[in-house]
Amino acid sequence: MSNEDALLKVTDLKKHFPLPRKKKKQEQAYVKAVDGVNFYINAGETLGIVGESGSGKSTVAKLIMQLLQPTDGQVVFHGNDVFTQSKKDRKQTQKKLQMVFQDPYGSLNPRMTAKEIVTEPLLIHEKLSKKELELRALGLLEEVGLGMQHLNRYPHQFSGGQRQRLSIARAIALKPDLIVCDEAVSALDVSIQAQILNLLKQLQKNYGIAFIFIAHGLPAVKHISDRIAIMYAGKIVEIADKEEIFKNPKHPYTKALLNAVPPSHPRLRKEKTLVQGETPSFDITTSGCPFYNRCMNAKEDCKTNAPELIEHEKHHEYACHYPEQASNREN
Amino acid sequence: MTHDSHQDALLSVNHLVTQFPAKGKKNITVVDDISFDVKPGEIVAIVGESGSGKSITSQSIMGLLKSGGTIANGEILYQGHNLVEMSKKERRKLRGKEMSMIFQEPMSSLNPMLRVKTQIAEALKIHVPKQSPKERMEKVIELLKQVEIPNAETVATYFPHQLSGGMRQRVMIAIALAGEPNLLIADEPTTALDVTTQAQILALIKDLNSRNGTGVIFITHDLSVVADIADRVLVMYAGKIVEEATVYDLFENPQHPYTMGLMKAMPTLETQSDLLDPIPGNAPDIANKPKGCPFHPRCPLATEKCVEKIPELNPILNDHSARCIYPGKGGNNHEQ
Amino acid sequence: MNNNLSHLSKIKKVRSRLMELSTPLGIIGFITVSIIVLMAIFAPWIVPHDPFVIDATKRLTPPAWIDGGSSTYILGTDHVGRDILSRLIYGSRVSLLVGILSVLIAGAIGLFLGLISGYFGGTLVDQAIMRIVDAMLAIPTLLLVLVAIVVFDPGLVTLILVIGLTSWAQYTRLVRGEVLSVKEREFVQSAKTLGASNTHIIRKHIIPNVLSSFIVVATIGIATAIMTESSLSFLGLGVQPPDITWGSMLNDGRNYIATSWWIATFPGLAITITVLAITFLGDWLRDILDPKLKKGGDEDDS
Repeated sequence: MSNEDALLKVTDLKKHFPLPRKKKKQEQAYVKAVDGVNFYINAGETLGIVGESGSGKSTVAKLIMQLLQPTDGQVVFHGNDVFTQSKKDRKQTQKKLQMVFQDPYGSLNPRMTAKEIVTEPLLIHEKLSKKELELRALGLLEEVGLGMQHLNRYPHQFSGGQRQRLSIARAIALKPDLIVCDEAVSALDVSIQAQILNLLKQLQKNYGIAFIFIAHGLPAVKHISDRIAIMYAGKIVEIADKEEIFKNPKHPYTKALLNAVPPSHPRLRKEKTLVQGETPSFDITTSGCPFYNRCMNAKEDCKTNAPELIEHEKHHEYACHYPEQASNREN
Repeated sequence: MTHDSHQDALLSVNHLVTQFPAKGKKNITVVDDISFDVKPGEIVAIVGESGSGKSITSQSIMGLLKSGGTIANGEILYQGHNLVEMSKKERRKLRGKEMSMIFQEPMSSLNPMLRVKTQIAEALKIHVPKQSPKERMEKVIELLKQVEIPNAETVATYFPHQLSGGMRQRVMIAIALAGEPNLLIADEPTTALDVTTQAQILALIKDLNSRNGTGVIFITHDLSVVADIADRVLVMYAGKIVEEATVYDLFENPQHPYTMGLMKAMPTLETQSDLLDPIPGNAPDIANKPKGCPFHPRCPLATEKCVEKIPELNPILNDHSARCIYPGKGGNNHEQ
Repeated sequence: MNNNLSHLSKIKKVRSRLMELSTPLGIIGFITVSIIVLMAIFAPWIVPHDPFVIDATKRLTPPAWIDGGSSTYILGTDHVGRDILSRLIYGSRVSLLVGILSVLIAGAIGLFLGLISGYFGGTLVDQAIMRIVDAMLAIPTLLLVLVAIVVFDPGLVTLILVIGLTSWAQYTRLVRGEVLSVKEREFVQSAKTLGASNTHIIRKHIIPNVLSSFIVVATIGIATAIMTESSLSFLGLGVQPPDITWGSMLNDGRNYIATSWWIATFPGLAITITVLAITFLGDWLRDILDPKLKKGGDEDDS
């Protein structure tokens, strides 16, 4: 991996949750929600993380935001490991690293007005007069396409899209360098989704904010990302530039995922070879490739020997012994 | 309206109006004068965003309206019989045997305390009361195989929580198919599922449709799912049908600005442009709809005429109609 | 700024909201409780007779509408000739005082411990608090109160302290449960990612979202405390004469229930009505305090 001066670098990140023991003497079993994840993100770019339920993508987000303590590994932001940094550095990290949550209903305190919601970060980190706070609140609301008339409203008086705008206004209040968006548009209607995606792109253009955009919907991720990582069962199985991953998917799971996306036009309907089965439950401990039992390319050694994530081509890493041949995704 | 084909229709909805009571105010009209037909073996998709009334339409057809919703006007003809005038008992007899429904959240529709086989057997018992337990169990396994559940014999003994989301939805479909219905109503059945699982369930529904000739009403907010599965499409907005067409016509040649807007707003794997083209504003409050065409505050084509009254659903071409006085003028069509 | 105007419009808004959310039972509860409170405050000025004066010649006068009754003693007199209506009005003072103050004590302790226990759920502190709560709830309150009263001198202050200090456990448990669920909500996580301190999160995010169910339960707690007070006074262990309480009035009427039913009946009714009214009020508060019904800013929807 090339990037020593990356904005954020995740190294060998692991999070294992202990499972309740059924019998006293039973050996402790773990859910390996995140199991050795490596990636980096540069200033001003967007990294999409795609995965299905149980892939561990949201756990990665929580670890980066230090809402969870890792079992192992590092998350280095601006050169500091976020888990071991000094108190002073932590303050700085908390300002420059922000998050937008999925649920526009649960992520805003129902008893706070829009003004209180967007100025809360300023209240915590900066000392401002009441007047200044009000001005900043107004500026932030305008930044995300809301206005003065919204200042004193409560969350339930906003639509889903407007709430997500509020969450974004709150996230940009401290002029962050990186925002982690965990399924930030998944709960929104199509027409509103596009508004929010455009807003994020606009903010990136204006302020050079980097995004980690976590989602299960491939089209939205493709639209907003520069690079895309595909997660499966706690591991990144493929990571590459956006165009590359769509034109030249190497991991059979990536290919299966692309195949499963419904067509954008009935003309593009096709007889597809669908991948069978579903994401394995976590407690299956395998020494081999986690995709082994669903994979069409799988051979005997995949069962015992887990492939490593290796940069096979420039900016294109994948973890597979028998990658797909370079056949373009037929249209 | 172009409803001359009642005779051969499996289901024919005419001028359906569904209302909900509001505290201290006038009733809220959630489904506002809707008419459409479903022919045997046809997949009709109803697409719309939250608050469009698409789910309430399906609940009206099934007779499953909650929280005081009532059908205020119109008729729902199933093979010529008006469901609205039927007694509760008669309707219950139709449910399951003639028409069944599957929902978005399979976990909450399954009884967590009962094994899969028991739940399917229950459904069978209602429709075929005289059957030996052994025959019935054979039928259960057959149904599970029909919805492509591997190891059907083992899965039959599981409880719902032991199944994955996709498997639960398959069990739901198996239950829905127990009475061999002629009409299947699917309300966002894949929204809660993963992408690869969604593809499997869509393929299954298509397969059942072509194998058994089951008519399907498929309710969704996702245009790409529509593109994948539908024969004919109804686009709903604020309780009204704003466009109706065959799926090819709709995607080739959308007429209503809302349909066009949706298509442009939807990111696809083929989209190249940097910014999407969203529809401005928010969907209207259903209790407080704007005057005239409900889409006019968000519409790029709107003029004063649009505020005056709601346009009729006018035929444009064969089997293609749109509720707009400026149809087909939404600028360039969907790209490519 | 036109402060007056904005105040006026605020009052108008609050009033229209109360009207919107009014239910018949809620209104009844609210009005009844208001009347009782006013009665308690203005007791010395509104009583028709001196409630303490004994007049043996007027003893056991029945209520005004019964043969032998007198219109000067609307609800009749007791066994030593004191006016029952006046005594009832005075009795409301003690009942409300005991109810409100003891719930304030119990609520303060319960809220504080519940917040700590819930916010640091699963830690040693939480474990310790919850074991104490379990122990408190395992001992019957009345028994605890009885022992305490026997040890200390019976009287108003003892009564308030004893009821307050023995009934906090239920509030702790309620608040803890609420905190545990609010804590997991995304907006709390969101504040954590901002680097908000624990006190900030508790103050701004947890308390406002826990308070409404707390207030509802505390209101109903007042009713329970009034019942406890009445029971103790009835047993002669509560407020001591000459202070008047409904419970001791009940006790006074105990021996005359066969012949002069009114002495015990009216204080009994007073207790029932007050407890019911407070319960109705509590249910109504539950609706009013729901944030989804809160309105702020202008009412257009753009």
